[in-house]
Amino acid sequence: MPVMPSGIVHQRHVAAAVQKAADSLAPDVVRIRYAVALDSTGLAAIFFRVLLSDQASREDRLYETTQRISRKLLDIVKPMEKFGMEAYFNFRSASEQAKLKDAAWE
Amino acid sequence: MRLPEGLLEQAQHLARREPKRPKQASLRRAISTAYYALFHLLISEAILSWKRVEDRDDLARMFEHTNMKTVCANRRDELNAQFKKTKRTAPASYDLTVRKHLHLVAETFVQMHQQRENADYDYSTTWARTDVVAKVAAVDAAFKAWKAIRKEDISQAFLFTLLQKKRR
Repeated sequence: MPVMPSGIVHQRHVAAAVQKAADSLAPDVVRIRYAVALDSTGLAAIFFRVLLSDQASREDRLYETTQRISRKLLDIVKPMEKFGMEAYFNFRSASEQAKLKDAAWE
Repeated sequence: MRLPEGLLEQAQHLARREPKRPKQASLRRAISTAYYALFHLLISEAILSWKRVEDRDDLARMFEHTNMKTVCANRRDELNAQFKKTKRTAPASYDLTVRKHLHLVAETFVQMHQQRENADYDYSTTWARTDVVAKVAAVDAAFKAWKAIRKEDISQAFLFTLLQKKRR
């Protein structure tokens, strides 16, 4: 039986959980990308990049929207409970990404 | 106006400067300034409990960013564990509301500590106004949450722990 490095297993689990979260958050969330890297304290962390629909990016509901999405991602992915990783979140709107054409967000 | 509120107001201003083409400098400074608003809010509150007024400025210099982040992360995780034990059907209580406010303050500090690091030092990321406005709004919400609970025992105990040096 092949032994899979735990990091790869984690990556698969994380990817599946992130996709599940993205599906449940549509249409407010267009897509979610992420990276695992060290945070400012030198610990492994997961950095979520959440692309919002323009409708969901309206300023009058932006705080509530981003809080709700962050909570949902934490509930589904459980980065701390399952992987011992802190989670950080960044957001941008679809129209901002259309201008910036940032490969990391595609 | 006190320094923390002044910094928060400045962050809100920076986040909305250049309405059509926001400068990265403005967005990055908005994130950094919003973090420092929360940092100074907690320190300025913590030192008020020190009886000797003439020592408070020196005491303020003893708080360290990374320690504070670690304490906030630990406190948030403890509160999460408590929330899990609380029955979902349990009626909302004042105590639960206080804990949720404290959770918001701690979680916002953890998030903003990292975001400030990225905004100040990471050339590889491009900031978008949506993200910055949301993060400044989160700090504003943390200010409001803190002001609602600042005199509670749990809040005062939290302030004291910010001086501790603990590992995660």
